Amino acid sequence: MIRFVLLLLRLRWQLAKGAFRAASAKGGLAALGAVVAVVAPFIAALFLLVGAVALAGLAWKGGVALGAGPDGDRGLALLIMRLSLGLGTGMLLIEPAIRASRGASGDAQSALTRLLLLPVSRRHLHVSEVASSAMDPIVLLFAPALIALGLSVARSSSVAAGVVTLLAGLLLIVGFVTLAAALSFGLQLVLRNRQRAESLLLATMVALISFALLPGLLERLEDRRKALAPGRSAAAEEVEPMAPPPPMPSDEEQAAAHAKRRAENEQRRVQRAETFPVWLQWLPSEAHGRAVATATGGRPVAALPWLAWIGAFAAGAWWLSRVLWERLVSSPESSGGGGHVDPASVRLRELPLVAPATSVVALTTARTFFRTVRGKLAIALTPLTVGFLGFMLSEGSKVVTETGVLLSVRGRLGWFAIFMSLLSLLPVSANAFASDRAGLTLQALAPIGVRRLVWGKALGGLLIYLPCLLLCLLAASFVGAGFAPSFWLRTLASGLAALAFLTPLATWMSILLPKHADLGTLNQAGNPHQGAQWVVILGTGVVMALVGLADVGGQFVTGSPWGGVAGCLLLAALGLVAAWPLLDAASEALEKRREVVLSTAEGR
Amino acid sequence: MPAAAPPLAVQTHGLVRRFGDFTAVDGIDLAVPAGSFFGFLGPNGAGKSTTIKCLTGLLRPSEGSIRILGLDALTQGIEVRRQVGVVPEDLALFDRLTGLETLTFVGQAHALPKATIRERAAELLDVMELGASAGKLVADYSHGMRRKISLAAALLPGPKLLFLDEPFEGVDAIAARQLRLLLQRFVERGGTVFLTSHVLEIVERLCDHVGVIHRGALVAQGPFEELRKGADGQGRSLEQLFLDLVGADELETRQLDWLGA
Repeated sequence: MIRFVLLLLRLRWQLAKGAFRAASAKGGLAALGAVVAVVAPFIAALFLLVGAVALAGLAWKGGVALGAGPDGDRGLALLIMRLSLGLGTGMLLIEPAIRASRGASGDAQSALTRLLLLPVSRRHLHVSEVASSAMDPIVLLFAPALIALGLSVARSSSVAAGVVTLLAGLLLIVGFVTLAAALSFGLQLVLRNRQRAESLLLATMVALISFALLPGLLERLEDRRKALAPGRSAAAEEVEPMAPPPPMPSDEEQAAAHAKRRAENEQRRVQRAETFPVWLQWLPSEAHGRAVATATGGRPVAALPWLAWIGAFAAGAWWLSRVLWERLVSSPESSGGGGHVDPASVRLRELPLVAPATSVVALTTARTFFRTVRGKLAIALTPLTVGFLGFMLSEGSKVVTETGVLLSVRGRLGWFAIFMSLLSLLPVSANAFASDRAGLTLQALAPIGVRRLVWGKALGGLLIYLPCLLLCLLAASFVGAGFAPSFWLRTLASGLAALAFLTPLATWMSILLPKHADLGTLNQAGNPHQGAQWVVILGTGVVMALVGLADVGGQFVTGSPWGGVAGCLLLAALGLVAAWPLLDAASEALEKRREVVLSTAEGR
Repeated sequence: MPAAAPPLAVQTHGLVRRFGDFTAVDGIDLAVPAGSFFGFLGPNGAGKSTTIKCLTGLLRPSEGSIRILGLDALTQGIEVRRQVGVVPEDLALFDRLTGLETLTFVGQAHALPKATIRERAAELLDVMELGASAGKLVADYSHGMRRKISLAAALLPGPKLLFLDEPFEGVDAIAARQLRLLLQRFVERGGTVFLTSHVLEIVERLCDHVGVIHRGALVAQGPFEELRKGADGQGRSLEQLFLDLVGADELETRQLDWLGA
């Protein structure tokens, strides 16, 4: 077993060396990136070590408080311990989702295949894979603390209480390790299937962003509820007479009051902890808390059922890891769904007023983008974000009065909708050609001229952008911007103007700085070239300023929202006129850089 | 009066392609007669794929000229692509299109009538035994299925000339047989096939003309039977001919005494 572990360590080292050598061949920056990739885990490990030592120190102090401290300290120590371990369990559970958000990868599968080819029995491989979960950062962070807690309780309280605490801690570590292994195997099973992996990735992202937006949303709802509550109006508060100031208390009185408040707060905290939802007590971390509380309360024997429960949990997680492992190594790799389609029933769409080749490129660009994780996120999350911001800003419309319509909440939401839609388009707009990957070669082999390809890509961008913008506008309208025709027309015209100005810039950047990108992931591998990305983001800012000027300028000159519509339509026309020669020039540039773009798209 | 030379489907003159200091293709003069089944052979890294990429317009030659079906490939690229089908080395497929959508994409890019696209797509899916997976994304296809759909995409526009880079790699025996028959029928009807393969048996069985490239230079080309007979008039197998042309000595396998012991 030790030889096997050493072999794996050697393999890791050789892989790191190989990655550095390959990166060095590509240039200094890539080599630096490879060094960072190798060094970063060591820095993370250092932080982990410091964290684990600090947590172990805290646990030692907690053990002393649990064993010999006054009731208040004991309650607080128990509460901190339970909260920390609960947090650790939660982190352990959501860790796979976070790993999934980095995207599906074939690395884990190929590593597994390589391991299965070794002359090691599957049982031993399972044991070694579960044991390697002991290297999970969360386990490494909590394991020293759990052991320190047991030893500290044994020293400050009774040996029996210490033994129970230590045993509970060790069982919990085993539970954590087996759970981490089971979750890891489960994740590998999910990621093995492209469709399942992408669905998980999508669900994770929507959940994470929704959770991130939730506190702000709840706060706003609470503010509204308070504002609408009877007897709480501002007017009522204004007329309320001011109470006379209380007499100044003496220093002793202040100290006593402070101590009382502190004791009450601690008591409240403990009570709050005691009123955790009932189902939480079945968590292994809570069972550990119960076992420790019971043992340090002078009843070590009564803690045994809790120990048994943690043991049963660890055994259950082990069994689950074994089942998932067997499934992982026995079942073949599965592919996505789909099946028979009658070619006669297929609708072959064409865009009006454009050449068939331009049309097919545009439709394919939009179709393939919306089938990627990034495309699905663009259509699902962008309107959600705009809706959220609209909800948060909806009170702000009262504030801006000086220029009337000019800077109303509507205008700001419309601009935000445009900005967000342009950003959601970025993965495909700033990397229009290479994001097709091998599909670009198929287009290069077809009788599609370079100019038609460039215009097809530009139109494809429009086909992606328009549904995004419309959904954003709908969300904005629902949360406060309203459905006024002038608002919709102004925003649509502004949006078209922004796209018309931005498309040539993005196309040029796609030609000058192409990058082999996988839009099925949310990590760096799916992003456009950093340079292209930043230039296009900067360009988006400039274009948004132009749009704002046209909108506000139009309204200022005419004194009506329709003036803004006219201003934006004028800008859109100007954008189209400017885009025409710039896109034609981009076609010539693409013809010259055709080989570079093609080879980059293929990942060479 | 000597018989008129047959028209050439592929003709290159002094074709050179350099990558920096490295010359991948070094002045080759190819002449592939129309209606022939041309096997393009060479060891790994000899320049086969680079040559095909130059011929299909994916790479621009550093020097030389290329004529495909009588058209100048460098100035009439789109016209050439209308008449040529290609299965490149990396297959060139959109991961996020289904098999059927890949075929309709190619049909629409060639501006074929919609009814023709539907009809040919249905037939090709049937022949390639991909009907049951027509609605599946190419990303979820196996390697063999990807190769079949790539070939179907190359055939759909009804090309006069097919460039096939290792078309039999990863294809099962039944599909390979079907593919062989299909290609033979294509040539019988006047089409031209330009094929590279490492499997010499396939080349021997299918090809009537052969070209051999080694270290970027064309070391032999012509009718297979003529090359096989050689100057001495003694028949040789394609394997022997190939080994002779690329200068490989008989492999002296080391003893490896431990193997199988």
